[in-house]
Amino acid sequence: MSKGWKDSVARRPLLAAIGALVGIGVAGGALYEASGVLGIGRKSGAYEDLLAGLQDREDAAKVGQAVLTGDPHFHTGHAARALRVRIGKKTLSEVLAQDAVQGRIVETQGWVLPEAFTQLCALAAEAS
Amino acid sequence: MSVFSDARTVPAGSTIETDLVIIGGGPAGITLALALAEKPIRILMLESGGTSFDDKTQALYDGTETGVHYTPLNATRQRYLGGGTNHWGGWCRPLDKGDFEKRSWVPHSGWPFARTELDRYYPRAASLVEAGPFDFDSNSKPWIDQFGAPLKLGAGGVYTSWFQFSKMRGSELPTNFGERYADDLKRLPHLTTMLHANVTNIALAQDANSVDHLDVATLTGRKFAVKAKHVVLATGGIENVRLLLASNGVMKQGIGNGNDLVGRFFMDNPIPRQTAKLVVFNGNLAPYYTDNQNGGGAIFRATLAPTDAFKRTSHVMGSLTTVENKVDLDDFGNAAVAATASALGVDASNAQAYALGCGMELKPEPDRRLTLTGERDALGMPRLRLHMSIGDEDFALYRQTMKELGRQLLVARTGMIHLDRSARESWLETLDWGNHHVGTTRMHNDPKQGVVDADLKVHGIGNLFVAGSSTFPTCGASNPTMNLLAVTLRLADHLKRVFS
Ligand SMILES: Cc1cc2nc3c(=O)[nH]c(=O)nc-3n(C[C@H](O)[C@H](O)[C@H](O)COP(=O)(O)OP(=O)(O)OC[C@H]3O[C@@H](n4cnc5c(N)ncnc54)[C@H](O)[C@@H]3O)c2cc1C
Repeated sequence: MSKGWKDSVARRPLLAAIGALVGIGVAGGALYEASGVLGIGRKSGAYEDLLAGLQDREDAAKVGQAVLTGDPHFHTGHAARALRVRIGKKTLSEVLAQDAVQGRIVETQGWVLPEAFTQLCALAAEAS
Repeated sequence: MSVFSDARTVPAGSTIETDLVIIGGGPAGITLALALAEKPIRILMLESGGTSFDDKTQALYDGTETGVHYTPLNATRQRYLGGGTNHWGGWCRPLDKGDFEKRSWVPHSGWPFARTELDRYYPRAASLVEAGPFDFDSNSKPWIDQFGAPLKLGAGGVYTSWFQFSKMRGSELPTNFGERYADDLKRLPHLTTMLHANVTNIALAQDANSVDHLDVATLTGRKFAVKAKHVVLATGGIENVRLLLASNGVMKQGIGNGNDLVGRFFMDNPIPRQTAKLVVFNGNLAPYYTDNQNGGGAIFRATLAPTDAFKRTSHVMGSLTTVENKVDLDDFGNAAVAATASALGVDASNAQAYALGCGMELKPEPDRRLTLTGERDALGMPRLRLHMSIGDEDFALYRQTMKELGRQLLVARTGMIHLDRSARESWLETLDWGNHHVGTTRMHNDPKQGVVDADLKVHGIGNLFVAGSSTFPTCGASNPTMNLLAVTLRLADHLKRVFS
């Protein structure tokens, strides 16, 4: 978990932060997030709702480790929030294909990958 | 005439008179001679070498190279009848339409005519190199029925295009112009092909407006002159420069070099190996990607090329990517493929990875150039130095095209790309060159920007023309020979008008 996340939380009243998350209409996800914010069960299940879409979690975590190493400023919390908004009711494969169609691709250790996929992989690495 | 003429038997000090002289019996010279020979024009083709390799003649090509590693100047060419086709690979593909356009992101780009101008010459050029029917980009080919569909890609900037090959006979090399057309050259009544004839000087008239005569020498020490109404210089993209610069008796800076352009803008197609890995999720790749195939009257192979539209929007250069061989992935690669495929909802249990290679297009660069040195060859001609370069940007732009290919594979959910190289040293590790000598007597209607005009006539000289890829203002990614033959056939039409 990055230092930046804790700093930004510290600057705002905690309840307001939780309220804002709930307010964007992704209540289920926000609760996971909130538990993350509160430091509850972050490792074990903070992103379970997102990671459930990953069938090959072990390999994804390997990719995710490379994502985190390649981007020390990677912000897991931000990434998770953004992913929840993006995924919504879509399947993971739809989101990844959409990333590719829209040119949202990134390079991880030379592999050209959909951006959302690398973010998920990073969450998988965090959670493992 | 049933034999070639031999310069070593021409009386010393004599002068031969004719209508047209072609200097050089490579594919450009031979094509021009064949195209004009039915006309009542007396043609003399002067060829430095004989009909086979000779050490002493080849040594006339010695030179030096500086900058980025390049093939030695005496190895990147062959100095005998047939020229470079004595050792070429036979890869053929027309230049793209966009290669002829002025490209805002490519300084010095833009040909004086469009690709449509060459459309009527390409079929004949293809038949001279003994390729199949002139059809390179449609996917309605018989070989698709025979070998299966091309790799499915999402909409975007890279597409499957095609190379064809000059005909190979069994395990023999592709069409060797010297051998293949020897009988035609001997048979044509108005054409004399003279071997062992080295042009050492293009002597201008005192007013510097026309060629007066050519000085010819043999390695046996014989010297004579040739006088012609018109002269075509067709000694290849390197030697054309040497003759123009060394012929400085009247114009001190060399012929056609009033604006210091002769020898500049040298281009070749860099061929880095193992540039990337292509992973095909279901493991099925039509065999024409990895190996030459025979079908529909052609020998062909698929290539992955950027569209003109993608080049325009992304400001990349041309490139032709080929699939080379199967490779294994490391643990991380296997994890990346398994995880990505499953996230895309695709089965990758039979996934196969392939190494990719490519031929790239370089930007025209004035300082990548040929100059004369103080050293002299056995005939007293100054030797050449090539200063070669390739920029980091050239590699970065190719990477961008590969990234686009990766994106399209993900869109189609058919595969993935791994970019193998990023640092300059890594690119240079496996870098080879196409031995395509382009740009050194560039074509432009403005004499300040080109050595020859759109008719390939040297600016300011009424009767001197240049044939070959040295006249191309940009090189594209396609191999030059079939293209230079098309341009030469266009020159033949122009000369027919000049002589009529
Ligand atoms: C290893 C290799 C592989 C290649 N593979 C391919 C390929 O796959 N596809 C492709 O398109 N191209 C390929 N090429 C490039 C191809 O060979 C050239 O594009 C082609 O030969 C150029 O034709 P040209 O007639 O302009 O010049 P050249 O072939 O160089 O012919 C010039 C002729 O002029 C003669 N000459 C030189 N100086 C004098 C002089 N002073 N007086 C009289 N005669 C002279 C020479 O002896 C020679 O016969 C390859 C080249 C090499 C070296």
